[in-house]
Amino acid sequence: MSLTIYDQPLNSRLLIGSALYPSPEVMKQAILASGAQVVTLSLKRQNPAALAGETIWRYIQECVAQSKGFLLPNTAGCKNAKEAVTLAKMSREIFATDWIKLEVIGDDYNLQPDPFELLNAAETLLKDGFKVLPYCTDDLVLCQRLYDLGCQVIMPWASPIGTGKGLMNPYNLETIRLRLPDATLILDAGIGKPSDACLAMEMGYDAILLNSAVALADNPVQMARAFAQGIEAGSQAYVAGIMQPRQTAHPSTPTLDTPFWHQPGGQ
Amino acid sequence: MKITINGQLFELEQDHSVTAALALFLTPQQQKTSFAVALNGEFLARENYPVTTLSHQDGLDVLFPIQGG
Repeated sequence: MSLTIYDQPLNSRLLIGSALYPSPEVMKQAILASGAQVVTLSLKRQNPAALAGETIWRYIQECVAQSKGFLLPNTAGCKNAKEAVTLAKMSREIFATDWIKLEVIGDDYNLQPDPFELLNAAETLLKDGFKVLPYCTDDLVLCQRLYDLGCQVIMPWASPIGTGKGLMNPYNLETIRLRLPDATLILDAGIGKPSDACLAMEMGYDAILLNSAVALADNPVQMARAFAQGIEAGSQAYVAGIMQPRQTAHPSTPTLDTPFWHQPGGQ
Repeated sequence: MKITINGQLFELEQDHSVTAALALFLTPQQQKTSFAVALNGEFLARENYPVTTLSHQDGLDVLFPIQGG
C-alpha cells in the first residue's frame, strides 16, 4: 500500500514537520526515523547576519535526499489570500516544487484557518498550476468546496495547531471521510499521541501530518518511530476491516461441548 | 529615495535595481544562499531583479528557508 499525493506515490503515510526540535541533528535523526518522505518547511524574513536558517535548510535537504523524499513548503503566518499566494510563488521558486501546504489563518488565538480566504487562495493557486494541500477545519462543506475546486488532497485539523489534543471531533472527521471517498485526506495539526494518529487511520484517513508531537517529545527520535508504527497499525486495521461493535456480550470460546457441570442439573 | 527591505529603511539614489538594493542588504555570503523576493507584496521572479527599478517608498521582502510545520 502506498500513499499518493497528486499522482506521486509515497512509501510512508506520515508527513512530518521540521520545526521545534531541540537541535538540527535531532530533527534530522527524527525525520529519518519516522520514515516520512514528505517534510514541511517555510519561508521567513531573517536577519542578514544570521545564517542559522541556512543550516536548517541544509539539514532538511540532507533528510529529503536520504529518504528520496519531497519538500512541502507551507504558507504559515499568512492571514489573507493575497499573502498566501505571494508566499506560495516565492516557495515555488526557491524549492522548485508546485506542492504547497496552504495555510491562511483567521484567528490568532487558536490559529483556526480562515475558510473564505483559504478558498480564494486555493482557487488562484490551482489556476496557476500549484498542487494545493489546504490545511482547513473539520467542516464538511469547506472540505467539499476545496475538493470541488480541484484540491486532490484535503487536510482537516484534528485540533488547533500545537495543542496535542488529538481528535477534537471524531464525528466530523468520520463524516468527511464518508462523504469524500475519493479525496486524499490527511489529518493535519493537533495530534498528540500515536494512538490519535492510529485512530484517524482506522477511520480511513490516508495519512497524518504532524510536527509538535514528535519534536516536543522527550525523545523525538523514539517518538518518530512510535508514530510510524501507530500509523501503520491504523492503516492495516482499516484495510483489514474492523468488526462492528455489538450491544451484547458474545462468548469468544465455543459453547458447544461445555463441560458437564455447566449443564442444567450438573454439579 | 527611501525604500524598505524587510521593514528596514534604506536611502538610495534614483534608478536602483532590485539587484543593487539586495547588495546593500545581504552579505556577500547570503547573496549566494537561497532566498526569494516580494516587491510591494507581490512575488518578484529572480530573473527580474536586474531589470526591475525601484521607486520611492517601495518595500522589498526577502525571505529565506526555515523550519516549518
